[in-house]
Amino acid sequence: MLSAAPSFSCVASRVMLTGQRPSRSSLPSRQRQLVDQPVRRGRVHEPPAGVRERARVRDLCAARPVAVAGRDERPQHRPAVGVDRDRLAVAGGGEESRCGSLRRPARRVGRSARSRPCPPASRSAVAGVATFRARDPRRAFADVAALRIEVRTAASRAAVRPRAAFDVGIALAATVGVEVSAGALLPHDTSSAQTIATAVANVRLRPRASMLRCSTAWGLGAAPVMLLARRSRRATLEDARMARTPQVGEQAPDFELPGTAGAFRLSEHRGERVVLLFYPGDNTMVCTKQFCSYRESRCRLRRR
Amino acid sequence: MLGISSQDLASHEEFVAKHQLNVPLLADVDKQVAKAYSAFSPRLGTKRAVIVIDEQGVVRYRHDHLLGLDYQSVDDLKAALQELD
Repeated sequence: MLSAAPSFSCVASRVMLTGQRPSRSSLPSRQRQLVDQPVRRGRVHEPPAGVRERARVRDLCAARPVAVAGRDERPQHRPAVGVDRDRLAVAGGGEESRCGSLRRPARRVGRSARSRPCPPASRSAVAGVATFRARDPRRAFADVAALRIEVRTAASRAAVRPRAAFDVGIALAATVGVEVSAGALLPHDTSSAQTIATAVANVRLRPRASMLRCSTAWGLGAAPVMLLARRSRRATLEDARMARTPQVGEQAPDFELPGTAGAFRLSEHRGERVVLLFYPGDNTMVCTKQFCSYRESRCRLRRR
Repeated sequence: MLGISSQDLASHEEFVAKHQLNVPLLADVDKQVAKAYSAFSPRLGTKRAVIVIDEQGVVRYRHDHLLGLDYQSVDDLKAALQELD
């Protein structure tokens, strides 16, 4: 089964090196082109996979690709669909340098059956744990404003969807601690035998503390990772602000609450050990799993 | 062992019935208890946290989950409880 899964590598290139981005008008028109151009005619687009950009309420997911048909059509002179040119400020190819690569390990079917399910869109390619091969990812990405992420494969191109590039990009971003604020699939050169997809993404460095484990990121696909990246940062800041009380060794505040087994008052249960499980909500995925696992091994806990 | 979240009692009863849970669930509708135990965030509501209170009403163990995507397995809980003995 190992041979069935195509191996691919993902090359992330820094697109912008300086913090000061040149304005669009100051660049010669040639340099304003996106890095992946020129685009050959006759290729087939997938709709760009994008991330909803909060600030501008611009839905990149909804953006349609440029239709490429005729011989005379020159889509390479337009911005790629879905990419916010003002923020991306993608300059010419000369400024990029390779800052790392992701390599997907061959998927083992026996083990993946046990792991968490991937969303269908990314299942074909984004599964498993990636290793980032830069020595110091933080330094490698310190001055990067945008990333070009290229997915290459040595296997059959049909086996990996172009959309995988974007998923990989997001996963990469989560791995190295950068936050992707907007991005899109780019049209790419189909005449190249290896490159199957290219994506560009705006990135921003996130605090190290909120860095997500890559395995989590890869298991969940693109959109939830975005959510997590934002949430985790907020949560970290919040936690730093307010100390958690009561801490270990402190008296637990008393309370009384109605419950499924009658009302419960903490002070009436002195002499017993009480385990409080705070959880976000009934019938949500994780909470259900959590309580079902407790249901099944309740007796084991009792017997301790 | 008690579960606490901010849904009302009807929702809890449905949840318990649906999965035949044997952990009683408490309805912390106004989230005061979650706040008192610092297991509350304005965005997520009740955060996932495990707090063990001993026979004297003293907190002996607490584990807060940053994101709420994982939970303490039975083995984790067991280990935590055994450490107290």
